[in-house]
Amino acid sequence: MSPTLLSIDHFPAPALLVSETGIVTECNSMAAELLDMPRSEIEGKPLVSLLADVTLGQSNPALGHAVLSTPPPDASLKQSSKTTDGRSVVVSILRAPSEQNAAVSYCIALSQGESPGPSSQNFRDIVDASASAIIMCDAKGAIRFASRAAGGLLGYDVGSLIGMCVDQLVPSRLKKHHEDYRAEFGKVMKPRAMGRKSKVTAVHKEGHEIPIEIVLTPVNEVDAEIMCTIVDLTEHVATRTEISQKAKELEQLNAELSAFANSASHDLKAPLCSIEGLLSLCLEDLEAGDTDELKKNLEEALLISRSNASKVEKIIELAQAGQAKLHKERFSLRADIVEIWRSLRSVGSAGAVLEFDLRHGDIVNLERAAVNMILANLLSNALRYGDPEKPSHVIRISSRRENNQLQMVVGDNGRGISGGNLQRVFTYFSRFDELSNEGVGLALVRKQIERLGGAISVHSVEGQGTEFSFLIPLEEREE
Amino acid sequence: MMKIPVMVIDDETVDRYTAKRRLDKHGGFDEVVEVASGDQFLEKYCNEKNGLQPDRPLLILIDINMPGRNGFETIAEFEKRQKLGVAPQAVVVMMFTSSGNPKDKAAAASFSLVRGYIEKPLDAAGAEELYQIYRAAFPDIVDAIA
Repeated sequence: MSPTLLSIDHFPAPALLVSETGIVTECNSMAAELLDMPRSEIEGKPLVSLLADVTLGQSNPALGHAVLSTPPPDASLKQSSKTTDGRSVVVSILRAPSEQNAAVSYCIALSQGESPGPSSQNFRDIVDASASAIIMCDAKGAIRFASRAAGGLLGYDVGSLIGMCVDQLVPSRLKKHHEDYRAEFGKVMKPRAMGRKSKVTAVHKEGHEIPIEIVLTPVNEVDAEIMCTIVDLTEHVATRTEISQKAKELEQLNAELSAFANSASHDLKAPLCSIEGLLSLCLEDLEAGDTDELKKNLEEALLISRSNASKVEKIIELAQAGQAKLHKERFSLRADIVEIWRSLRSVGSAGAVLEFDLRHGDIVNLERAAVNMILANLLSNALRYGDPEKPSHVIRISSRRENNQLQMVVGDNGRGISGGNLQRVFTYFSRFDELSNEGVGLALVRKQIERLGGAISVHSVEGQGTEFSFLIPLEEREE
Repeated sequence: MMKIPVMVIDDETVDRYTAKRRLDKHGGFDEVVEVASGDQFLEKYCNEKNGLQPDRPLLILIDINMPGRNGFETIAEFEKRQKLGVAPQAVVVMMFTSSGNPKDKAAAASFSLVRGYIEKPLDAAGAEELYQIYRAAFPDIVDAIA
């Protein structure tokens, strides 16, 4: 390959020079050592008498002739062969410098074969001891060697990997590019690591992709041999995914907390400001002797204080929802709905009618207090937002049991919720009109349902009514 | 002395009451017109049928956190209706809120129509501040009659 290669003694590997007629003309000391013969015995001998079992693309089984009948290779041509005493060697056939000699001659580089020689066995043991998978391939991408870990990682037995092109281990969408990358790497021959920053995958025998980190190291410039050290990143990727999932959850929790803190602080401050305003007027009314106004405003301040103490209790309840796990019990959902309805109706809205369509098989095994809270809030909202324009105020509650989930719908023919407000119904402290309470109820409902592993959604048409649908998983079939 | 016409837009009855009392005590303000929400304000005073055309520039105190359109949404809509000519043109708008949140203050500052930011509860000093801000905006009107 290199035109400056004049003496074979400087060749960095065991090598022979072979004449056009297949006779070894020169042998370096490393080759003599590998062939376990003195140089004098090697030089002058036909190559075929030293290395057996080499067949080239040509049909002529005699190596010397085969070499000659093959056009001098641009890159190396590799063959497995054996020494006279039966040890495997890999033979690389290169075009030798021809300046000195008009005749074409060949440089034959030798390297220890994979098996079964004692030193190659030693090499295999060392490589197999490594936790990383190791593959050696040649300039064309053909696998020359694979460690046991490589076989394990890719799902092949080591023997069947040998001779396979590494492109086959690359996802099919990248195969074409991989050929180009390999060609490029062959020119540069600089170590390269991949897979830490970018995503690199290898294809398992069964077709699935394995995330890997891979380091390519040129180990034999002459043969363009590349050692690929591969680390399986499956667990690493799983851990990383888990961590980023956790980070996302925390971020969401943080945003929720921050929104909660913002609105809580504002909503707790607002009534205190109202009280402050009233009390400062009270002082002035007291000085002025206006006791009627004073009394009225003191009562008003008291009312605000009381209602906000109850609001703080709601907020505490909301903050605690999702922490404590309430105990499950078997109860009749229908009976509880009837009871909730009775207590809500006693407060007012005498005209409202509740229609039942319960098909969940009644007895459920759920956290009764949480389910009651959810239903009480939904029913109380439905009651509160009746449409005075309509002759009757109808609330429907229906249920089903499907795929081991309790599905419930609480609907009404009330005044409905406008599109803009609909997005905010589950947000803490969202109050939409004079009928709104603290703006905590639906936030609490959603939080409880999500804690129970379920989900809730709302559908509403202004002027027609509102429908809340939710589902809660049931762990077992109970009847 | 000319009295300043005032409108208080706030869903909290008690806060409207406090503002009304404070402005009364100040003496420089006219009878307070109370409006319970931004939506009501737009509906009642800023539409084609009954665009409010007060004889003097109107001082508007508007709360931020209200059901329906909040204070800022109301002001944005008010600006649109001013351009359509169905809302009072000469106004001094002041935010009137218990929120000390810098975000709310920044949002208020982004409206050219908003002249100031008064934190609840309104006290005597606050009433005087309102008076001076209005006076700075319309010196001719306040001082001519004073």
